[in-house]
Amino acid sequence: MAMSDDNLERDPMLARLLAASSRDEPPSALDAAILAAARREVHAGSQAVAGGEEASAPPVRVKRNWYIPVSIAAVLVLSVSLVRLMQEEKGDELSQPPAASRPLPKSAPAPAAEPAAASPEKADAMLRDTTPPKPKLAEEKRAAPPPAVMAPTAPEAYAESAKKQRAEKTEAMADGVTVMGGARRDQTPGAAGGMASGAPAPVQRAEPFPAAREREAPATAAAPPQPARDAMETRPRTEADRSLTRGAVTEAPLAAAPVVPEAKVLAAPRRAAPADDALTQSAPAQAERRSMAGALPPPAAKMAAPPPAKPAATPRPVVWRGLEDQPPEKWLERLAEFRRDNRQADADELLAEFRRRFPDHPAAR
Amino acid sequence: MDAATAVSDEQLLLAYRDGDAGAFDTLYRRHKGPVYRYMLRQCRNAGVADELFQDVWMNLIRARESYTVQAKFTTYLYKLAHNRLIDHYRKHGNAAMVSFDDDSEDHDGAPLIAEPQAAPRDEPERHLDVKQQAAKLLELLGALPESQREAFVMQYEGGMSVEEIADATGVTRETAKSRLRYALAKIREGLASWQ
Repeated sequence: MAMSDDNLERDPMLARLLAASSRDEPPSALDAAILAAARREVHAGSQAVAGGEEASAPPVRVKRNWYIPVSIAAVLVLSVSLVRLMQEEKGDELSQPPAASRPLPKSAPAPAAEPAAASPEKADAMLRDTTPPKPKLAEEKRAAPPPAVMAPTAPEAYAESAKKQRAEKTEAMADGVTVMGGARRDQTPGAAGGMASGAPAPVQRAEPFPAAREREAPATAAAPPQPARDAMETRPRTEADRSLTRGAVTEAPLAAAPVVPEAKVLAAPRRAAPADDALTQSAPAQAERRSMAGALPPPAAKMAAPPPAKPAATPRPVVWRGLEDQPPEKWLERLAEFRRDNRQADADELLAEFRRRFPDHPAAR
Repeated sequence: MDAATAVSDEQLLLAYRDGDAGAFDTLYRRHKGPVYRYMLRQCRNAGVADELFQDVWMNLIRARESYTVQAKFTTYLYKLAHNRLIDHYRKHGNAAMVSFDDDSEDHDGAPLIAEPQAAPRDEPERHLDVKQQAAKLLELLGALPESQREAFVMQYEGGMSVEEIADATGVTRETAKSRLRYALAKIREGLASWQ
């Protein structure tokens, strides 16, 4: 017979026996501890609920403790960064003049700007003849220099010019100057020009012969020979001035930038101008300039006017050949001839030389 | 019935949850003996029973905020006690736990012992010394498996029904009933020799 659920009901006899067997109770200390804990919990809960502001006071105080160091640190960081920024700005201002006096890489000097420092009169002339350089560059690129086309002058003139070139070359070699040959002019002018950097030497001039130079003369009015040579003559002084004046520095890149494609000189600006002059001048002019430079004290001349890339072995005809001792009227006659023959480059070059030689002549103005 | 017993356990715990410390005192006095004896019967060590007993009430105190009336208070209280006891068993090895899972005797229906006859118990001439019977009961109770002893103590000390025992111990009603049945059968069989 199975036990029913009723038999699982509480048996009074077993309950009585169990009650009689043991009336074990927890110790009174345990009772007290448990009741105390219960009261403590209730008291703590009521404090947390009733005294909400008091309970939240410590966290607020903790937060305020963070505010002070954080704010101090922020002020310090801002102050230090501001002071450093100001110092850096001052440092930049102080370091800019020397930095400006540094040679501008791959930028030719402004031959138009240097005559301005030389004399107002020449500056005026220079400004009148200045033209944008980009057409000049394009012209230069187009001008593949065929030597056969470039010789407008007589063979005698070439021979004479060659003699002068050789003499000049000898003189330059005596001065320890590397002379750039006309045929080699496109090789390493930078090294000869005292390039500080080891950058590959750019082509100093695209065309080695005066004919090409003359063909592009209409477009190369930006660098007239006269102001350039004048600037060359006064270069020691103007370069020194320019290195000391920040204004000249700011002007130099503006004026020099257009000339960069033509000159392609990587050396310092003060070195690029002579190179340009050397390319734009004829052999007699170079000889003249060389003699004038020789009048300078040797160290100054060498330092201020470093060796320009000289044209060289090939004699360079000039359009004013035979007019050196002639009166201005002869110059004007030949100029008129060039105009009639539509030889604008020759005419411009001749005009530039005329202006240089006869600056007071009414036609030169 | 005095005012203290008029208030149910659930109401007392709700009152304590709301900040009435006196309600907890009443609740504690009602249940401290049975719970303590439950612990004492199960772990059979007074010191351990004290510790476990205190933990059970402290857990109740801490859990008062989340208490909601979902079951009878005794069920809730003994569930806390049971869980604490299980933790104690796990902490000190699983040997004692085996008996909780040992329901091999649980084949429902078949009586393992004969149903005790009421007649002999009611015969005055066969009255035995109550103290001797009580000692024998404790001896038999100690010999029971943990799960059966627990079910028996919950019923006779805590006054819980089979459903409440099942809920507190986390087993099905049938399992709780089976455990209780086997416990009663063994105890009655042991006491029969004294009757």
